[in-house]
Amino acid sequence: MTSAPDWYVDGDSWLHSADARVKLAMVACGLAFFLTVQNAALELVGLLILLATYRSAGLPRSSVTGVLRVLLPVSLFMAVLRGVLAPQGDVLVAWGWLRLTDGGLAAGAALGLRLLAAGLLVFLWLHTTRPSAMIQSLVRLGLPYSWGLTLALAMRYIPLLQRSFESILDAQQARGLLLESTVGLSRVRALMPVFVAMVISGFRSSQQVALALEARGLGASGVTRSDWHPLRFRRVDAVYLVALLGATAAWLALRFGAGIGTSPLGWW
Amino acid sequence: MPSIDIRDFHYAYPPLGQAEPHWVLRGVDLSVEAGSCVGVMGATGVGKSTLCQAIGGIVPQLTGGIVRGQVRVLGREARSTPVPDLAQQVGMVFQDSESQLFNLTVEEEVAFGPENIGLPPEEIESRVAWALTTVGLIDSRERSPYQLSGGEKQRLAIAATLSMSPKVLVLDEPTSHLDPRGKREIQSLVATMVRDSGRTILVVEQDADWLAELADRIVVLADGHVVLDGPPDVVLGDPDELLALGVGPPQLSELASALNRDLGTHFAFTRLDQAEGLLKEDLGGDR
Amino acid sequence: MGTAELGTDSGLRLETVDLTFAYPDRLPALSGVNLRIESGEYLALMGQNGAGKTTLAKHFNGLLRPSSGKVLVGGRNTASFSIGELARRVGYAFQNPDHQIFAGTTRDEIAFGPRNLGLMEAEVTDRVDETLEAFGLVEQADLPPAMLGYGTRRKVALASVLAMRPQALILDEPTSGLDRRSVTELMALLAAYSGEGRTVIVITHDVRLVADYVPHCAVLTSGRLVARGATHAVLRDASLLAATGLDLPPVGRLARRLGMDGADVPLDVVAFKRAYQAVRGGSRKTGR
Repeated sequence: MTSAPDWYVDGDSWLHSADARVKLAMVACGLAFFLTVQNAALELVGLLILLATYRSAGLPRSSVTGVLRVLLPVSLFMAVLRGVLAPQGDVLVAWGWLRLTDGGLAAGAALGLRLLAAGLLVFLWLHTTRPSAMIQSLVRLGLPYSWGLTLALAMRYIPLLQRSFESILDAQQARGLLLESTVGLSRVRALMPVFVAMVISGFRSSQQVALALEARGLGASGVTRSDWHPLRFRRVDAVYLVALLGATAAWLALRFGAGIGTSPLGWW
Repeated sequence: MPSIDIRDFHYAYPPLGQAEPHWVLRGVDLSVEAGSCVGVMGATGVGKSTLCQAIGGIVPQLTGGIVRGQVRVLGREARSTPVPDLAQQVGMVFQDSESQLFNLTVEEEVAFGPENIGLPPEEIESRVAWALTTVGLIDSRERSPYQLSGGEKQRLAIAATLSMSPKVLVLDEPTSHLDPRGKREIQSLVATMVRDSGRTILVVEQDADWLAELADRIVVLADGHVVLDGPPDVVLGDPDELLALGVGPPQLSELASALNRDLGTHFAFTRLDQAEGLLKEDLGGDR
Repeated sequence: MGTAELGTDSGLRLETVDLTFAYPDRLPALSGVNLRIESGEYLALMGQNGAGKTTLAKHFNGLLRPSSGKVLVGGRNTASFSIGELARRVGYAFQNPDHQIFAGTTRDEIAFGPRNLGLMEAEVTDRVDETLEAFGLVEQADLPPAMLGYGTRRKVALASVLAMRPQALILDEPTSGLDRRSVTELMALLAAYSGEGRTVIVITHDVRLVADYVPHCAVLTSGRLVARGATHAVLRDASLLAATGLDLPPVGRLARRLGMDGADVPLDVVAFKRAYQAVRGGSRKTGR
C-alpha cells in the first residue's frame, strides 16, 4: 500500500467549501495583481496575504515548502539574471562590465517574487479544489468536458509518472546501468533506457485508460453527463466573488490610473 | 434469447504494411444464457482477452483489426453499437486494475460511470452505496484508490462497473496479480454475484482451482476457436487433455487421475466438496 | 576483488544480519531479519503482499540500504558496493517487464545487460545468441520487444537478466499471469540454472508452485522472518500458512477435511496419494 499521489489536500476550511468557480476567480485575480505589480514591497505584501490564506485554509507547512523547494531556485536564478542584465538606477557594485544596480536588484526581486507568487497561487487552488469540482467549474465556463477530464487525468498521472520513473530506474540499475559517475548531459544520455521505457509504458497505460473510460460509459450517445455533487453557488460565495472582483478592479485602477506599484524601489 | 451470442467469430490484428493478417480467433461459437457463470480458459495469446473485448465492442471499434462473424450481446450487435452505449449493459473489468482507477476517492470512482450516463444525484448516491456494499468496500469510501491493497483495488474496479447495473459482467483474469487473500476475496465476491442476481458473468482465468469452484460452465479456447465446452466436471476432468491445450488442470483433477491410475479407482472430481464426498465414501467401505 | 573471494565460481552466499528497514516516515517494513541463503541454494521467499519479501530482496542488489543491521553478499557488506557492482553478481528480474523494455530489437534488449558488464562485443553477441536459443526467442530477435505479447515480454525481460549470468538470481513473482506451459518452461530453466551451482531466489505467494518445484523456503509476515528450511518441512504446518496469509493447495485442504493431516499435510498429488493409500489400506473394507 502506498501513499496517495494527489495534489488535493482534504480539509473543511472556508476555502475548501468555497465554490470552485470562486477559487478559479481567485487564481485569475491573484495573477492579475502579481503580473501587473512591479514594486517589490507591494509584492511582498501580496505574498504574505497568500501565505496567510494557506494558513487559514488549514494547509500544512509542507505544502508551502514543497512549492518553494521547486520554485525558489528558479526564482532566484531569474531574479539575479534580471538584476544583472537590465540595470536601472544607482550602481551598487561594479565588476568588469557587470553592474549591480539598486533598480535592477529590485526589479529582479520583483520578478522572482512574481514567479513564487504565481506558483503558490496555483497550488493553493490545486490543494483546496477537488478535481471533480475543478472540472465542473471549467465546464461551466464553457470548456468541453473532455478537456477538463484530460486536465484532471494529467494531474493525476504526473505524480504517478514520478513513481514509474523510480521503479524503472531501479529495474535498469539492476541490469547494470551505471549512474554514479555521470553528471549533466552525460547523465541524461545514461538515463535514456529509463526515459524510453517510461514513454513506452506510459503510452501503454494511457491506451488502457482510454479503453477504461469508454467502458465506463464516457461519451454515451444522447446523454448529458450529470454530476453527483453539482456545484452550489451560495450567498457567501457571492460575497467572496464580489470582494475579489472589487479588490482587483480597485487595484487595476490604481495601477494603471495612478501608477501605484510601478516603481521597483520605494514603498510602492 | 441468449445474453451473449457469438457465431463464427473471426478476428485479425491490424496487419502491418503488406503482411498477411494474423488471425487470432478463427470461428468462435459461444452462446451464453442469462444468469450463468462461464469460465474461459486457454494458453496465453490464444485470444481470451480479445474475445472479452469483442463482447464489449472494444474489439474492433477501438482496437481496429478485421472481424468476421457475429457478436450479439443482449440482442445488440457489439461491433456496431458504440462502446459507451454498450457499456451500460456490459461491464468490463480488465486485468490491470491500476490503470482503470483514476479518481480521487473510492466513491467518486464508483460514481464516475453513473455520471457518464446522466443519472440524477440521488440515483447515483444509492447506486454507489449499493455497489460498494456488494463488494465490501463501503467503509473505505472516502479513501484514495491508491491506498488500497491489490484485492481491494480489484474489488473497486468491479464496483465501478457494477454501479452501471450491467446485465453482463466480463472479468479478464481478475486474480492474476493478486495474493491468496486477494484471490479469496474476489472468489467470494463473484460467488455472491452469481448467486444473487440474474446477471451473466464471464470470467477469464488461468487458475483452474479457483475457477472450478465458481463456474457452472467452462470453455477452453485453442487454435482460435472453442475446443472444449461444458460443465467443469467434464471439461476439467482430463488433466492430460488440458495440458496438451496449454491449460493447467485443477490440482484435484490431477489427483483423481493419479488415484485412478495407481489404485484402480474411478474417481472424477474437480471441486473440494465433491472430492471430499467421493473420497469419504471410498474410505467408508461397505455399508 | 576477484570472484573467488565472493563465492564459488558459480554461486553466491546472501545473508542479512538483524536487518531492519523502514521507508521514510513509515512503520518498519522489515524488523530484525536474520536470513542466510547458502551459495547455490534454491529458495522461495514467501509471504502475502506487504509482508516484506520484495523489500528484503532489494537489499541484496543494493537497491535498498538497511536502516539498521547489515546485508552481506558473498561475505562482504553491501555497504562497500555500489548498485552497479552488485548488479554484476546479483541479478534481479522484476515483475513488470514494461519497467525494463526500451530497446529497438529483442537482440539489443538482451545485449543491454552484458554490455553494461563491459564484455567485448564478440562475447556479447555470443551471450545474446545463446540466450535467444535457450528462451526460444530466435524468431523475435529482430522485432521490437515492446510490440510483443505480455507473456513474450516477460520472457524477454527475464532473458535479458539471465544473459548477465549472475551468480545469484532473484525473481519477483515470476509466474504471475503466466499460463501453465510457460510456468513449466520457466521452472525447468530455473532448475537448470540452480543446477549450475548458482543461487536462485523466487519471491512468490504460490504454495502449490513452491511445493512442486522449489526445495527450500523462507516465510515472512509483517516484516519478520517466521520460518525457514526445507519446503515440505516448513509448509506442512497449516497453522503457519494460515497465520501468514498463504493458502494450502487443494490437496492439502482436502487432506485436512478427511482428517489426513497427522504429521505431514500433503502439498502435492504424490504425497496425497501416498497418504491416502496408507489410510485406505488401514480402513479398507472388502468390496463396495
